Amino acid sequence: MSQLPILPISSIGSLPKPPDLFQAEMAPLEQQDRAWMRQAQETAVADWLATQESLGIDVLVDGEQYRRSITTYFLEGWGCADIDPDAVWVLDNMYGQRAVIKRPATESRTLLLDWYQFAAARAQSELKVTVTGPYTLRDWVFDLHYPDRAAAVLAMAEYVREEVQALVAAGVRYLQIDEPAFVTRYDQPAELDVAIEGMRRICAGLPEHVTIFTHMCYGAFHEVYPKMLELPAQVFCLELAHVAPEMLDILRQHPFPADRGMGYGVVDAQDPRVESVEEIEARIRLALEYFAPEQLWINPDCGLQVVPRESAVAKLENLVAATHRVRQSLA
Amino acid sequence: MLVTTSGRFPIVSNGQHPLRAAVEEWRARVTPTPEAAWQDTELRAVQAETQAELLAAQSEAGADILDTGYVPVYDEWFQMARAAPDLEVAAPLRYLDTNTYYHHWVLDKVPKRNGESPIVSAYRHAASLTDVPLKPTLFGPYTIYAYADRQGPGDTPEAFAALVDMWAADVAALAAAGAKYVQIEESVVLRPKHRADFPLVAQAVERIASAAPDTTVVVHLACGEIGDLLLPFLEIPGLGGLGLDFTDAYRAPNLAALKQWRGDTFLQAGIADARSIRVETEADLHETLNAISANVPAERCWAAPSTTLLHLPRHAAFEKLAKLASAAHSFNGKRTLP
Repeated sequence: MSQLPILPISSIGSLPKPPDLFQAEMAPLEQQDRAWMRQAQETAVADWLATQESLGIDVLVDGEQYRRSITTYFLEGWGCADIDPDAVWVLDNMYGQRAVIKRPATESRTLLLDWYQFAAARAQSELKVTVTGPYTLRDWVFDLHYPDRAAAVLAMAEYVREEVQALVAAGVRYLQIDEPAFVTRYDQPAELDVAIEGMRRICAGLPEHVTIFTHMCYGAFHEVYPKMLELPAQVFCLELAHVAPEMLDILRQHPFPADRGMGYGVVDAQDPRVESVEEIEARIRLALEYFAPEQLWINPDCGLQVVPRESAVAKLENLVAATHRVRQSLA
Repeated sequence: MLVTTSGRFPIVSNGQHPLRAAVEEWRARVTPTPEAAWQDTELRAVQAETQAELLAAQSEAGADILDTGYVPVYDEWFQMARAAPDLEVAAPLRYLDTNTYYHHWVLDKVPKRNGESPIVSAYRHAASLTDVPLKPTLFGPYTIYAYADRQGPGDTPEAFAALVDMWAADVAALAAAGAKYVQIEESVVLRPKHRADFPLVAQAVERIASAAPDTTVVVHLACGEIGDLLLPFLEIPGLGGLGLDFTDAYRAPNLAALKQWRGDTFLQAGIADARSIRVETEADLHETLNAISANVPAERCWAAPSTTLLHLPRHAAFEKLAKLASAAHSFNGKRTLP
């Protein structure tokens, strides 16, 4: 982190996919033209890496161009789940394919290694690898195999740990474990505890030079703060472009610890409207009222996959411009 | 023991459904607003066909009190906003701990009803298709208020009271159209930070029930523990039924709370887990019904999914409903017709 500028800029994870790739990946895996898919995915990853570098992003992501969703990619890839043929409503007119866990993993838990190496060979800047956390891998799917939720979460934690071990051995220094589901069952302490235990198992023994991020979105963060600090992450990337007054209240009551980082979300990841530089700058300055500059990372609220590509690029462009303005004033 | 449902159903099968295609086509040619959806006759025709399909599917599964089969454009909050066209609907927010998202309202003024919501016309259509009792479901005014972006005059007791009046008018219209049952979804009040707002929910339910005195108004509370709110709920004047969640983490505390059950209020017992693809066995369902019937007479209890079956794949939703109906009807050894 010492080589990065103050207020380092990163993306969160997903970025818009080319329409033909998006369409093609909806087909069942066995019906997909694997060679065509791989080529299209590689092209899309390389394109987004170049785009982020040209925009001035400090820590790049691969845009998750090869993942059908943050859950099915891993569960199908590990061989422990099948996709239910009837997609489930999520929002608007959008229906999501749902994995059904049916067995322990039968395939290698090194899905990300190959993609990391592909990206690392093409990126000049630092890379951040994102992996879905074990709690979300259970909460956002169906399970017909494990006796209870905790057993499923801890089994997923072992699989994620194997992915992470392979990535760290290959040189990954920035690793983000996404747990958007962490914010949801805050009325059930046992659920939060098993999510924390899952991430602890993944991170146990990781070398100090690896920076662990976690990302949560769409949440009433004030409901899980300061409990969320029990997660063994150094940087918490939260959706804060429209920060709730309750979150600011609780940050005043329980200041964020000085030894942890905050990835402050400053652009809306759902709304295609492109925020102005001034708007984003104001959000960064609000963040500086609650966090020291050294603690802050600047990022979008969430993966930008659902907004059009031109909107995503423009949002990132303005995010970079706004951050540069604030950096200058801090200097 | 009667079997009822709890809100809308999933529709797509293998990714396809005529309504999904119609919504896609609609939003490609218009600016998608609640009023635009209401005015689009082609879209409403497909919604009406979908209702017929879902009514038949519920009957085939064995339900006794049916949902109207209404599937809104986008989501219920989006469509309900048609009743107050001066209000803006904003981006979708995650609802409770589900991975589903609803368009929240921007309450920057005291809302004013300017026509009925699509729920009412959907009820009329459903009632024209079946003689089986129907229970239309509306998200309640407190839920809309709790999730709303409230500003200025929209963040006042007057604004909430105006919202409640909107709902009361819709429920009165439903009653006038013949609805014997109406379900109001207010699960959010069981969340820790919202429990203190119980008086708002009580105020709303009393007002709504008074607008339809011959209709059984059921307040549904999924995904939470009723705890010390049970008796205050049962004391709300006009409350006809209370829906509780007896699955997963909520089974034990809600069964314990039932020891205080009193009066003639119906219990809508959410015993089939609407968020798990695992289909309960008849023995599992009977075990929960046995525990419930220790405190609530079977004739005052309806068996139901714990919440909307929307969270499941379509095939699983109706498989689960059929198992629930079979188990509930065999519970007393006989089926009590409505």
